Amino acid sequence: MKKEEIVKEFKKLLVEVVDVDENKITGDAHFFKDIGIDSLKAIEITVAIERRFKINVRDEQIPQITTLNQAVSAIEKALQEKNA
Amino acid sequence: MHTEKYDVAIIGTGIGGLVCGCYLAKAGLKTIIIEKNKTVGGYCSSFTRGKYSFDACVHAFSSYREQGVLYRTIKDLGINQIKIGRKNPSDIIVTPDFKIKIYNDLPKAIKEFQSIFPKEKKSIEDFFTYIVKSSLEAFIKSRRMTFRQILDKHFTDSRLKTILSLILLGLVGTDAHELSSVVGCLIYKEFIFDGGYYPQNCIQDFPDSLLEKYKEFHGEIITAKTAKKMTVNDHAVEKVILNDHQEVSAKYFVSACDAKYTLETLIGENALTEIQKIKIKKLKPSLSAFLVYLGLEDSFAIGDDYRSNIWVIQNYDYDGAMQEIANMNNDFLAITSPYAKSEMKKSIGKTLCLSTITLYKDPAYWRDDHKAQLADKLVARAEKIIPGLSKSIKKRVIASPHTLYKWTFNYQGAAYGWASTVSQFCDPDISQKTSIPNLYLSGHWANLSSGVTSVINCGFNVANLILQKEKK
Repeated sequence: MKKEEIVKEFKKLLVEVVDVDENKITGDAHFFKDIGIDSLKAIEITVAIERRFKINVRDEQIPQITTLNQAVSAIEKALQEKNA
Repeated sequence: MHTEKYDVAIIGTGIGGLVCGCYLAKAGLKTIIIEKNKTVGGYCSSFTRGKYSFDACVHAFSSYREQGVLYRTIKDLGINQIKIGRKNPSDIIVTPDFKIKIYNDLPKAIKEFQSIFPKEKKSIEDFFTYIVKSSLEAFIKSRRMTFRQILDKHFTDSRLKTILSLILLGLVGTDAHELSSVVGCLIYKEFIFDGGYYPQNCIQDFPDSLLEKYKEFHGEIITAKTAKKMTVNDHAVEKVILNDHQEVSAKYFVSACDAKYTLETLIGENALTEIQKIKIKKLKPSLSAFLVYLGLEDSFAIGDDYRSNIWVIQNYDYDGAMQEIANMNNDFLAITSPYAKSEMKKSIGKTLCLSTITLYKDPAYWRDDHKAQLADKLVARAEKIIPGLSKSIKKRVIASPHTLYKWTFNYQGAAYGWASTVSQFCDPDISQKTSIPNLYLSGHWANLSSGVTSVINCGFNVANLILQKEKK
């Protein structure tokens, strides 16, 4: 899966789960501070990422997923691990 | 005929519908709620028989600490007319060998458990501290685990594991072997360690005070009329048609009633995607409940303990207990009593409610004689810890899973919406948004956890989803 596809899919997922304005999801916008995602939503997003991309996100990576760029790199890493 | 168009039409006055309506009306949206019963509240309501007042299903609230969801909602909406007290201990576990009191004070509650299970001293401290002190993000690490697996990780004593699992069965209607650990931990955090809150008079105080606020915000309501159909045109809901053919048009619709009824009956299968059709048939509901409401003689002395929720656990074999539920021979029992001081007034009768988790079965199973037999059995069990109970009963009202279904339309009389299993946890198809952009779901069928706190949160979230859209 190409990076652009991951970005597109992830944005779609975020819009689905939290109904956020897609234009607000820039690479470095902070999920909690800038997009208004709360802890419960963060749990939903993590599980949705794993279901959508059929991956297991490593536990230690979860707290680091606070922006689009971080989420995409975590997804890329998990996809690589899955295909290795 | 309601010819005017509303901004939002909400179906159902369970707490998920009322809270959603309050936030929307407060923000100035023209809102209408449709309720099939004469009174509001859904499972969170009370009913009277003669001088006795009974809480139908919900018997206490949680999450009223300063950062809690209930506290925030009452403050946000400016609800001043409700006074909330707290049971202490909130819960008491009674087994053939011991009694554990769960006090509002965590260290005291931990000590109670440790005194019964001294070999698990450190595990008890670690486990309860983890649950109460952890942030929600911490629970996510165990998202692929069942609650039972979490218990197995911490404890070796099977009695302790059975007790902690059965309480959750009562609070979420899902077997701990399947229950999402995140949900299990959340329930303990909110319901057990920040639970036991109770309004001044009866549970009905809460939905009534929400309704009063909703009306103050110029919200409108239609009661005693059932939503029968939603018309969908060009991928949008246009109106709700009621049983008397009245039509309600709106820009947005929120269904705070059963999700299956909403999608299969109100919307109709033609408007669903193929995946949704398959999914909605595969999703598993939580278990239902059987409740016996007892009105007691005025002279009957209810001990102080019975102001708390009592969990009566007969044996320590969890799998055996689950098998007995499957065989409709359940010996797990919860006893609840209104906390209110007003109960002391002579004009209001003393009451107790006995309940157990059970399978739905078809209506024919719940014949009157069958219901009476099961009610007798529960009373006999309760009598073992409340001597003289059966002789003091002046009034007995029974609710079977089918009664719960008729009252709320909840699929299979489910006590807590969809089962909170690991596989259904955070399922995007169990969500507040639907494939129809102007239709939302609120209440316990659209959330990742269960209970009053979670439906309050759900109503709040749905209101925000709509308000965000309105801003765009």
